[in-house]
Amino acid sequence: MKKILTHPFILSLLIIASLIFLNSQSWLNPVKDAFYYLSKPGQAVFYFSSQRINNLFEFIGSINQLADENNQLKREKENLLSKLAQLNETEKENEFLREQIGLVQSEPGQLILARAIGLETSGLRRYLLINQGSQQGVKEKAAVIKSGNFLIGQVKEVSDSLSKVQLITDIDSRVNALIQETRVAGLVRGDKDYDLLIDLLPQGEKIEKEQIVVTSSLAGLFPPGLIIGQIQRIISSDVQIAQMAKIKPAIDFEKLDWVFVIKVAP
Amino acid sequence: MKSILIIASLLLAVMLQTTLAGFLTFQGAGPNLILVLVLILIIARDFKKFWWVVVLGGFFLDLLTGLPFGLVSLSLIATAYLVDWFKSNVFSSVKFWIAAVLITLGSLVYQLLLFILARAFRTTGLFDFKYLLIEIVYNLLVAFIFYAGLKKVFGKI
Repeated sequence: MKKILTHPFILSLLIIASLIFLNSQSWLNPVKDAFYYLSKPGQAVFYFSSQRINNLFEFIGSINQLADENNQLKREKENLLSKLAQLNETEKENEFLREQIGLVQSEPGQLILARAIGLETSGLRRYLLINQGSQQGVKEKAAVIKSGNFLIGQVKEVSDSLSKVQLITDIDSRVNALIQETRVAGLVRGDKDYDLLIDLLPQGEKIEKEQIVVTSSLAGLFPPGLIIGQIQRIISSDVQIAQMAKIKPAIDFEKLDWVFVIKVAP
Repeated sequence: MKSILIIASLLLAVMLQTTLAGFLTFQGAGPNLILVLVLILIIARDFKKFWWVVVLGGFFLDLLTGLPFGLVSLSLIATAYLVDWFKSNVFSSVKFWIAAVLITLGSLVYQLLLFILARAFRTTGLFDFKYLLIEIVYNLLVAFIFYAGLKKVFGKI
């Protein structure tokens, strides 16, 4: 019996089982907090250096396309300026109408500024590590965005000084969403090839490329109106109950630096 | 002294796994630096000598990964033990090509175990051949670099 218990494999399994039990009772939290606190500076240095190297290689690889991309961006900028002007007018109109009928505008959520310090991709999972935790007010299930109201993901685990954010491209991620132009509701989920898919779109609804997908207020997990991406390709069959479409994410998840955690209301 | 250097290498590998490795992915798959480091140590020596490294590596990775706590540790320890058993019972000596076979086997077993144990941990498990193939190629490249590096640092491991 003693020989079995001292066998390295059995001993390892016993140690791991004990750690799993301790973690389930939250007794490992002090150890985890200490580890995160000590590893955070190193994590940050490695993450920024890796990002810079990645950006350099991407730049070198894209030199040929720079001229075309520049022209395309100029055209897009002109379109956006035009839309911005229209939106400003609409906002003023809304403000006026609210005043007229005495409607109070809801307060925007409070934001916690955080920096990405790690990107976890093993086992087909996609998680981001950020350098803010419970001490800074981060809570589980809080939405994480990039400036411009682009949705990044949701906080899944929080320690004192570090949090793990499940990216919307993770295979377990589910986000209630709708197509902004037509208000058709669907469910955005991560795909194993790290594409984003919007599923459960009703048959018969017209889905078009480049339509913008935003979060909806269904289930209340994410604030509504956060930008997820644009429809890239429609996957539809008359035989299936619902339509599906591939989404091009609005942000590049390998270029995440500063992010915002939306504070969860108490 | 060697134990301290091994722990330092482990910590460095963990940090690189959650930073650099994330940017090296191709079609969603990337190298698994902890798995490779553990397998090299097991192949160079044996499980009885380095089982604590496997437990420690799994623990560090469990702390930083998005997978349920313990899933990586269990998959890693079972993979290491199986590779060690294979090395001891199937091959008479360890040459370069045998090490490559063992790294490949280890990568396959690790992914299979993650997939199988995911159910017990109530999370989604996925087994994808394309992903596995890319990861094996990455792991073999990294194994070559790690082995050369470890040999330089430790002499004969």
